[in-house]
Amino acid sequence: MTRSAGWLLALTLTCVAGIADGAEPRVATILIQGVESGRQEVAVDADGATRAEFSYRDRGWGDDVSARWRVDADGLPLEYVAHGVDRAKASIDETFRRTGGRAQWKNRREAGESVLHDAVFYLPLNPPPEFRAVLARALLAARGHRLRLLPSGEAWLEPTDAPTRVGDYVLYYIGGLDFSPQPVWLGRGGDAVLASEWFSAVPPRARMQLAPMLAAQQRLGAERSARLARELAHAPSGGLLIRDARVFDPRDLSVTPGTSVLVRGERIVRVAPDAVLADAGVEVVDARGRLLMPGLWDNHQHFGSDSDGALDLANGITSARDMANNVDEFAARVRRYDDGSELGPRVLKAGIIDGRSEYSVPIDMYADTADEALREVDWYAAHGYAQIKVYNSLKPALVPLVAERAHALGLRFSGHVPAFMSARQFVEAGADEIQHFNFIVLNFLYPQLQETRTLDRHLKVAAHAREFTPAQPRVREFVEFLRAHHTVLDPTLGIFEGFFCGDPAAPLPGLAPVLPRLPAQVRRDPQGITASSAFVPPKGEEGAYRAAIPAMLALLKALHDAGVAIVPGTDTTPYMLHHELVLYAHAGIAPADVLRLATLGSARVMGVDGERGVIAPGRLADMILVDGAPERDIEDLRRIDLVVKGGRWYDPRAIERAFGIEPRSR
Amino acid sequence: MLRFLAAALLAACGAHAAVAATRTDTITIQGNAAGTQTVDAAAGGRVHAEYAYNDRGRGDHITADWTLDDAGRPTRYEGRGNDYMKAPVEEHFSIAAGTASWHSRTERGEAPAAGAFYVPNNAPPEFLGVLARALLKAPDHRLALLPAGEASIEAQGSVQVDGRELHHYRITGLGFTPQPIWLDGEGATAAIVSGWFSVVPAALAKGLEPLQAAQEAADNAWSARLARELVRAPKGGLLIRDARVFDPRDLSVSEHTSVLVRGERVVRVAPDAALQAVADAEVLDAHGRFLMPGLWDNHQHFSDVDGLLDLANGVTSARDMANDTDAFLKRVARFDDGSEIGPRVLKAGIIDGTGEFAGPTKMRVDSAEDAIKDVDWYADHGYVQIKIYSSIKPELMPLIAARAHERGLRVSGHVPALMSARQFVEGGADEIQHLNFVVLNFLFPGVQETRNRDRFIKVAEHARAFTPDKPEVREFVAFLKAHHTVLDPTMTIFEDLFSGDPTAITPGLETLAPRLPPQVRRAMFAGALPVPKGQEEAYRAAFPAMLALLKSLHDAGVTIIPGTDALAGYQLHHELELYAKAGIAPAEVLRMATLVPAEVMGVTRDRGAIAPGKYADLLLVDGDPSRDITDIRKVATVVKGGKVYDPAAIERALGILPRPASP
Repeated sequence: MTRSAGWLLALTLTCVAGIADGAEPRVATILIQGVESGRQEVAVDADGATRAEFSYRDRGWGDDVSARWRVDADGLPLEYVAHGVDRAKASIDETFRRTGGRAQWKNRREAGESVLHDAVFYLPLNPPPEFRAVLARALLAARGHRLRLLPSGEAWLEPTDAPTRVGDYVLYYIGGLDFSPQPVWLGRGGDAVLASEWFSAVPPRARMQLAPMLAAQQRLGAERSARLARELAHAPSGGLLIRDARVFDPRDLSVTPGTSVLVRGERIVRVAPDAVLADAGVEVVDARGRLLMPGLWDNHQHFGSDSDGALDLANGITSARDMANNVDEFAARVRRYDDGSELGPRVLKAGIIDGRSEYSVPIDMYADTADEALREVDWYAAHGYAQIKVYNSLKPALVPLVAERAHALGLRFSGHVPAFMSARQFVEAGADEIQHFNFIVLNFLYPQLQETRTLDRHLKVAAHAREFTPAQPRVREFVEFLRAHHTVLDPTLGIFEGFFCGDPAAPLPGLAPVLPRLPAQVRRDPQGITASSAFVPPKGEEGAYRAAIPAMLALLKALHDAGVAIVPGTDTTPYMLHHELVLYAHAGIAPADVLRLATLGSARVMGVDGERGVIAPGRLADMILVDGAPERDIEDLRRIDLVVKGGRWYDPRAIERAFGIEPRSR
Repeated sequence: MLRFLAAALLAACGAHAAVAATRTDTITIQGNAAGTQTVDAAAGGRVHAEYAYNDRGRGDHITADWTLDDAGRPTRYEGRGNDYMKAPVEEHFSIAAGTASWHSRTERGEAPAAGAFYVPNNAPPEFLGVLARALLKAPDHRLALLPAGEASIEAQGSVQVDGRELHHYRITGLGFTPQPIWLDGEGATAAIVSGWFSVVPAALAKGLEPLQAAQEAADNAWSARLARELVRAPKGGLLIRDARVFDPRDLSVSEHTSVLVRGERVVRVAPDAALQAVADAEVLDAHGRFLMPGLWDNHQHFSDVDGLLDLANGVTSARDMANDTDAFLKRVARFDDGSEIGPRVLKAGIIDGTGEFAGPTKMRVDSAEDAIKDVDWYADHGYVQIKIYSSIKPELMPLIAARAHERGLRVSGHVPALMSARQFVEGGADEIQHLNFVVLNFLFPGVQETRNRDRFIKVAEHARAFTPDKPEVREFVAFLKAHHTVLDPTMTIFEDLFSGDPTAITPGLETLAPRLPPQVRRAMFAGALPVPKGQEEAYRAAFPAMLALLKSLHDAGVTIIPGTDALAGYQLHHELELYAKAGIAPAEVLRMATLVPAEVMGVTRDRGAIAPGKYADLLLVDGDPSRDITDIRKVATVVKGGKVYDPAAIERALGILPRPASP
């Protein structure tokens, strides 16, 4: 995806900014994945106002922000004015002013005013990184280190036993900005460092200290994750018996009421009528007729933050595929999931390989020659990856070589269809699977449209998708081609619904049902998981954009009916998985079939159906208890009351509360 | 129904002590005492021997008398009793006026004696010693055999046991492989030893390890030589061109297709035109022949040359359904490291109860603690399934199932005595071995003692009563379907048992038998149950009724996976023929022998279809078995893990004549 990097958003969403008190401008380098990608310059004007210029580039995306602000003696913003463009090049025009007891603000998405009775901190919609340090300093000065935020929400400094220092920088964690507390390092000289594997803003004097800072953050993050895992994972003693469940079996789509499921250790050992199974010596869950089904799969994730794994579990996702990530921190995170020291699903890893271009994915796995490509495939194979995912800029000539080597090593092969080749050619060159449904539509636009490294791979699809109806011979022929080749599709329709919804200011449509429950700052973040990231339709194309998703749904239905395997994935927050499945049902796929795609179907594609995908003796005890009948109404899938992974059970509500999310009302 | 002793027995003919004396040997099966052999030698080369053992109610009981000439060859042999399946044995051999004549249940003939050595059909083990001594006296250590064949002997060195020096010999010409035997310093029979079945003086029973080790070393050297000679690893890669590729996922056949293999996996499947320029790959032109995924035999008991027979017949994946717990593991390790030819093996570990009919295994339990210990042992040793056997106490069965499932193992087996197939499934079984247990479900509770041969006899008598249209049959078929129960029906076994005529060739082997080495061929007679008077019609109808049942189970969606439990490789082809005979479409049968077992065993990621990324386990077939299943016998080339095997070369190495060219 353009944001294929859905995974980076969680990290960038709270890039706030800081202060400068000297006469000389203070410079910070912006690093994306450790690569210099831009800068921030902060200076103080004669009138005491702070000015910040912030700019970076990431595959054509990237903010350009000029901001100016003043704070009061407590560090609370009095005035904030910003211009420029955001990451997706939408214009920023943001103002905030506090005078007397009144505050007024206006930005692309929000406009409001408020009479103030207490200390408040306005958090801009598109601030430069420096602003997170501004907030941290205000919190240090605030009573109880806690402040109400404008337009909404609250922020606080997480208490610590002892300060963490690297050089003269001290680490603070701010709660209330995201699902997890967000770090900022404040320097003695008034400067600040934002550090993460994905995005960092670092003054030159701190460059050598970035690595220890990241290490310290990782250690503290892991400690916090381990504490949460201890609190939120329940290992039943003796065994777990779930009684009186309606058990859904994706093998034959049957639902068997009055059924008991006995779990010992990490596996299911009995599935039998209630009357047959005694409950001596085991922990009992009375399902009271609720639906028990195999754990869900999200086949398109990018694990990056400490909340990702936990929120998977909160949404019933017990198996996930990571479709591109860094190599070290990610591997450590998956190990923590596996050893139980961080909440998370079982993760199958796909390793990304891209060619070098200005549109390259910012991960250091580039290949422009056969030697490079084969070396990278070998590296992934040696490190336990199950799949290779190629990206837009890989040279078409390298695709068959990568596919062949991946297959020789027993790895699956998938990806974006690289620029300058069609989906058909990609499959003929050896692809087992195609990420993202736009590439199916693009197949019909080939060879007229070949440069798909740019946003054209979305814009042209929005403009033309409606032209390709399932009844057309060329569409039918391609559907049959994909079926005959046993090609798997990972359509990520939920994010396309956002791209094509027409309103960049709107929230991601699929998140509407959960939006009110999310933390205030997550809800409003224009570059975060809740944003639609919509493209503005050119004049005259509004109708085409509106018709694009219905057309893609019709195509999806035709592919499913023909027997093409579809695996659901989000490419963004796990809260989107349920909506992805709702879209499949909207396309006309029967809800019980949709449940099969999200369970056994995915397990089969990945060749782990001996262990996962059904509730049966000998399989891993990965199950969810749903308060409703999702096999009839897929929307009920949002009503998950209990999640079991490997025999441990989790209360989704407790997980949500731990990550600042309001639990669903019963 | 373990018949994995067949190969061991077919060569285990008799022996004899040179000195006038009485000797009593112990017969052990899997290390458990199972019977005795008593040998009385009198003056004038006259010998009397009695031989009896019990293997779960089966087992030979033979009384024999013979006389030897100065060269140690029999001039007279009389044998009486019953064979392994309790069919009567009566065997006569004599020489008069230079003419040898013999008759037994299955053979009758005469020939000029001309110094040949008569090998009885059902002799006590001592007779192997008789043959060894005669061969040692013979010119070139070589003798013509009667009724046919030729044997030779080779010394393999000696071993000290309890201060005695025992000499190791291997006799070639009796089976597919050389047959080991131990003689003492005087030339008397000292021991006949195998992992399965041993005959030794009581004094020696505890000192078999050095003998087994010596035999194993000789066997391994033989296997390793064959592996070197018969396996070809293409350099760079292997490109199979112009094949008709069968895909069990959609039963399609794609013509003019090329398959590129690198290392152990398939890396490309594409139209010939798309794969023309492949550097450094060896090219195999299929000339339009049928290329399909390697076959699965889901019911084997590996011993002897089963691995070779599997590969010669396109079986690249197998399940072992009960075996010993040491030599077998080493054999699988040799298959995997390439030092012995054999398929990929998934292991099921047997657990039985105790008692007269207990299975041939050390894994016998009567308590929950012991049962769980055995499950854990198997789980810790890489087994993927537990196979429960007939003498397990019914109350232990659900405990074994729960423990196996907790360890991630599948659960299957014979339905133990005193419980029904339905109760077995309700108790947690994922799979049932042998279709007789489905018939027995309808005889429960009338028939509950199924540890003995009643589990065959009652089925022979009553199978015809349970037609697919009967409500109780339909209900049980739906029950199995709803429980996703898998069946491993071993139809070939029942065709054989119910064939009525023990003098006929085992059904399915009719075309193979003439190609086999003569002494192997003689053992390929049906294991038919004797048919009681008045039961002829019921017995005749039993097997067709079971085929009808099989078809209705398949049509209902019950998963069926083929297995032999009989002669490896060849009988798998016949098992598939029987499925087609039941009315299952041939392409569907091919799927049951490839993708379906891979699904059942959870290994579809690597096996079951010819697709990029999966193991290169393939066979090239002359003909089109997706239309005529009998064409599956025409295996031209086999590939396992990217290595190439020539079935004809494997057969030559085992003394099997080549398959006649297709018309």
